[in-house]
Amino acid sequence: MMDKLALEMNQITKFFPGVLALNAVDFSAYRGEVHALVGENGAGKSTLIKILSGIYKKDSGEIKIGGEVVEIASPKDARLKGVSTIHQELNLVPFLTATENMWVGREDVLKNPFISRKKMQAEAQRVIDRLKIDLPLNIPVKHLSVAQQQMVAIARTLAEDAQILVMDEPTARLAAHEIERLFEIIRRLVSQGVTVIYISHRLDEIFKLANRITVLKDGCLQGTFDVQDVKPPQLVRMMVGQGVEDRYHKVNVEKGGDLLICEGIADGKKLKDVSLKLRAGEILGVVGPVGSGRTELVKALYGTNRVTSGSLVLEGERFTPRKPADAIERGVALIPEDRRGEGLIMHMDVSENITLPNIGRLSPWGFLRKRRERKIGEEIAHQVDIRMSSSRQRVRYLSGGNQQKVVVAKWLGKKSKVFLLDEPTAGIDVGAKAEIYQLVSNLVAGGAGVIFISSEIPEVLGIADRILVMRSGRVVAEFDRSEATEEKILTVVLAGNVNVETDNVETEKVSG
Amino acid sequence: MSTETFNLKKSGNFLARYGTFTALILITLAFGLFVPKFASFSNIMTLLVQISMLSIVASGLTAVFVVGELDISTGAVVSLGGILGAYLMNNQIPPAAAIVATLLVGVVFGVVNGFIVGYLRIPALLGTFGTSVIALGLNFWAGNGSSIRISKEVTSEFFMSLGSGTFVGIPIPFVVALMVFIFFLFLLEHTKWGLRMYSVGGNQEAATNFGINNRRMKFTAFVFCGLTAAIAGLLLSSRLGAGSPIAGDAYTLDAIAAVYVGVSMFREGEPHLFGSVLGVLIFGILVNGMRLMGVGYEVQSILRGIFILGAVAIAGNRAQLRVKLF
Amino acid sequence: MTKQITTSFQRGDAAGVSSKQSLIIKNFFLRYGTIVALLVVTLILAFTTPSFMTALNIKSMLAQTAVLGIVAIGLTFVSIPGEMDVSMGSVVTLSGVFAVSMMTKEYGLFAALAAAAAVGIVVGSINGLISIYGHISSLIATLTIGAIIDGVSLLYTGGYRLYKGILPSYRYLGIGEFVNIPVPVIILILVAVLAYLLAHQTVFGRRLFAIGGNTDAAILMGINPKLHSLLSFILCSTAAALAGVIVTARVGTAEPFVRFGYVLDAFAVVFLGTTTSEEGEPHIPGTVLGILIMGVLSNGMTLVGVPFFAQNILKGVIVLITVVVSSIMRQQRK
Repeated sequence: MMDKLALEMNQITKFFPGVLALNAVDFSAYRGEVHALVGENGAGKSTLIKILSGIYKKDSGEIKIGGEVVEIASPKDARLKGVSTIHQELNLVPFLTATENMWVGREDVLKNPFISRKKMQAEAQRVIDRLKIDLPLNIPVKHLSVAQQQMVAIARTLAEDAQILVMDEPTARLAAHEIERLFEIIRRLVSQGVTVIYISHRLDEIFKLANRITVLKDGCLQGTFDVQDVKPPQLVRMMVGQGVEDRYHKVNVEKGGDLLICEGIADGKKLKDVSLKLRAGEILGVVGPVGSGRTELVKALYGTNRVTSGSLVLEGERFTPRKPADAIERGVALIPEDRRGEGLIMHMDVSENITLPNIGRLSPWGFLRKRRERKIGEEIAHQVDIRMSSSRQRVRYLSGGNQQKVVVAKWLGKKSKVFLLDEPTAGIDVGAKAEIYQLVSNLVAGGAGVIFISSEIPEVLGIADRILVMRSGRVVAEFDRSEATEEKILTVVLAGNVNVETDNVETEKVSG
Repeated sequence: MSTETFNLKKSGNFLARYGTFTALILITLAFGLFVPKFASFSNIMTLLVQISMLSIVASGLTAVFVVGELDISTGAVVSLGGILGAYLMNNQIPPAAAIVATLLVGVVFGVVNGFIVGYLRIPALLGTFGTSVIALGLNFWAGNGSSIRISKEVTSEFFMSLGSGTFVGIPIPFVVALMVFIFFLFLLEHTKWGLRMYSVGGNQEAATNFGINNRRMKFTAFVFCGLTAAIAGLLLSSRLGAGSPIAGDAYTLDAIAAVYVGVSMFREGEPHLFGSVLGVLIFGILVNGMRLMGVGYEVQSILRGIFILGAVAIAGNRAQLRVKLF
Repeated sequence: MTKQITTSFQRGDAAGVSSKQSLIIKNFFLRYGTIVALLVVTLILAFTTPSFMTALNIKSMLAQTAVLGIVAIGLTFVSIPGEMDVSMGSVVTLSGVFAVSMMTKEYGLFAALAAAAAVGIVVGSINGLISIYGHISSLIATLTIGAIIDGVSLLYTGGYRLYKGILPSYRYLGIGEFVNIPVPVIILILVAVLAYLLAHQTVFGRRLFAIGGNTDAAILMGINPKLHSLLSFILCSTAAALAGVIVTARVGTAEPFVRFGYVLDAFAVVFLGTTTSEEGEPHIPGTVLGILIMGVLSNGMTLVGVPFFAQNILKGVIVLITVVVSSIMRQQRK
């Protein structure tokens, strides 16, 4: 079965403004193989996949499907050519049934404008049987578990007669036994001649499932290997690469006293039990997979999620934030993950955004003093070096990096002491990233404490004084800057996932 | 492994699912027991006519809700349909031609709404508000600010029978409402277009991924909605014997409310034709019963408003659920 | 590293230059098209219709527009944080009914004004509480509340018009003149100035705009969107109540069954105003401009001899075209 190439992507190159996202990458997959695509965040995996599924257009290179050169213009076009992608968010219509979700948009196959639910269901059943799974076909998919919804998405691609199936982090939200079932299904698909391109951060899964592995790093191909020819540590090294440290200039700052102390805090949901100490002048890095509770930690500290147990002490006094205003009052600042959606008022100008959290204090009797406000706004904008045509420029028109600087700058006028940064460099180009690091260094030099959450381990290594690893709502490891290496951290992150097999996810033991 | 959790979740919806239905039965029973004339044959015939127009408007509006949009021009288009019908009849246009022309105008308004909202992606509230202003303007212009009375001498019996005649003993408006209902039932529940419309309303991104033309689906829904409003307007003017520039006003709110009431019934937080018609029934029975009891118009409108708010509060909260599901 | 930044920076600029010319023209039309339209219409009327540019006509035009203007300014306040109020017409009626009935019962001018103010504050609070805390779309909530208020007006008056006991001091608010300027116009100007200060010169206003721009971000900056929206509902209804006083003072009766026809016009005014801001948000100067346009249009159409009832059609068409054109331009720019 595995002798014919189903897909060839040759010398694929893709530019984004200021960034070379893919640099002449070659990728190919045989009929009936599981081909894993690995790499760190920003390595170019998702760009490559988005080109294949018609969301992005490549700048150069060629794509061959079944030996023929094709141009993929849109997601629909991709599907017509036999490429189906299952995104993390699955893209189903929640209140339609599994049957309907499998059929909608392609009822033309039935050659009758009046749909017969019986016929549709019979067809759906046939597909389900082919997958050898059991799935309730007649209830809205929103009542199904994530795993079942995923089955629906897979079944749809099968009904569409997909020859190449791309799965983006399919196990991110699944429990251990569900992952096993998913693997069975994938193996069954492969045995029927389907090609599966499998993107995952979890090396254990990859070694279990894949036939071949392709490693990307910084938009370049690191190599494609048969699974039996490589070992996990080798892969990690390839993903990490060399000379990471050069990108960060860690400034050493005198540490002060304890600024924030968390004792066993939980939010009754994803955050189970987190204890940590943040000192003045310290950058505390937090890493962990999506869903590990790191964002929930920030939300709890900022008062958007209620802390249900445990205690918080801020500057020696009890701290119980019930809403963001409480946290802001006590000098806590949030730089949210979704910069545009949660951090900025896009139609306001730079200065107005910067002064907004502080506007009450700047305005005696509730009346704005616009000239003074603008002066302060401009001062802060220059302090963090925002590149703008003037402080009257609307933030909508700034680049991602400069927007992020505005988000940070908002809190400078407020003299905040604790900064919570959730993925502050996501979607920002390399140059601007360095400036954000510089900005963070300046914050701690001014005596603030920073909690820095990131998916990019090298960046945390470069900037943090201590690094916490989170998983399933708990802190599972702590490293000091001096002892931390990327391999050590990655090993903890990945080891955690290996344990999942034996543990029940809900009751994992904590290892330190 | 799934059926268990499924049942659990389903039972939680009981109140919202059957609350409306229970309300309908209770209201009907209460009126039937305590209002002597309520259950009489003649009153039931009246009731059927009373709910027909609203049911027609609500059917069309349901389609617009299904694609996730809103139309606040329906009332104005209902009035327009009535005014136009009356005007054409008075000018001795053959009834068939007059009816076709009126329905065409309804379709034109639907086309404009659909184009603005579906293709130009202008928020429905804004777009349909604009068209409603135009329709209102036309209404007032045509009758110079007052109703156009259909003169008995010139109009055809056929036209007048639309509103007050019967067909094998059943009031004609009700027959029309039934036909409209069946048409939309087929369209929304039993054709591929209906399925696609539901997908567009449920998850636009998914619909795009499924290769569905979101814009065309929205456009279609608005066109149907404009058509039904014009049908209701024709029946209304025939029944009243006049076209009034504001006779249709109330339908905007009532139809929206009826659809909202229905939202809680089927497809779990989604608009559904059965639900909308149930909402219409509740309103019809409430108004009819209150009238029989001699409740004044003003108290009626207060009670109805409170009822709508209650229904929307229950349904609205649930309808929000769907957005953040995946 | 620095080099990389400058290159990406320059690239952004270079891409901008090619389309800059057309962008400037587009922006100009987008922002000032409405103003240009006002000037053109005024000029045409001034040259073609001799009766337009007379002091008498201008005075009556402004007086006629005053009520609409006050309602539109109120509506602007709810629109800034992204809400909607269609109950204003009913509030105009109810406040007029209550105010006049206070005088019919001989409680005096202040009781009348207090009753009107109370109507505004109470209805505004109900609108706000129901739509914000009840999570109901404010369109539906205020549409329904409006119907309920209509019922209350009818119930309270028994369907009869009220005219007994209206005090001359009350009528002065509608038909009086102060240094040769109609009192309603003075009230409108006062309301406009206050509204401008509140919306554009205070912390409250800034926060309203922030909520309208991005509610999630506003919450994370410690702003309470519910409280601010509630206040904006109250402001809106209070403006409507004031309009109710002026309407009844002008005509000398309070008619419970007359639906206030200006609500649609008020929406049109606010929409027209939004087209003059870069991002399409409602704002007070824009609304004032919209009021002038509506005033000139209505007046001009009457003078030219457009039948009264056909004027609405024209207004509707104008609103629709403005909305369509400006939102297309805005979409293209993004």
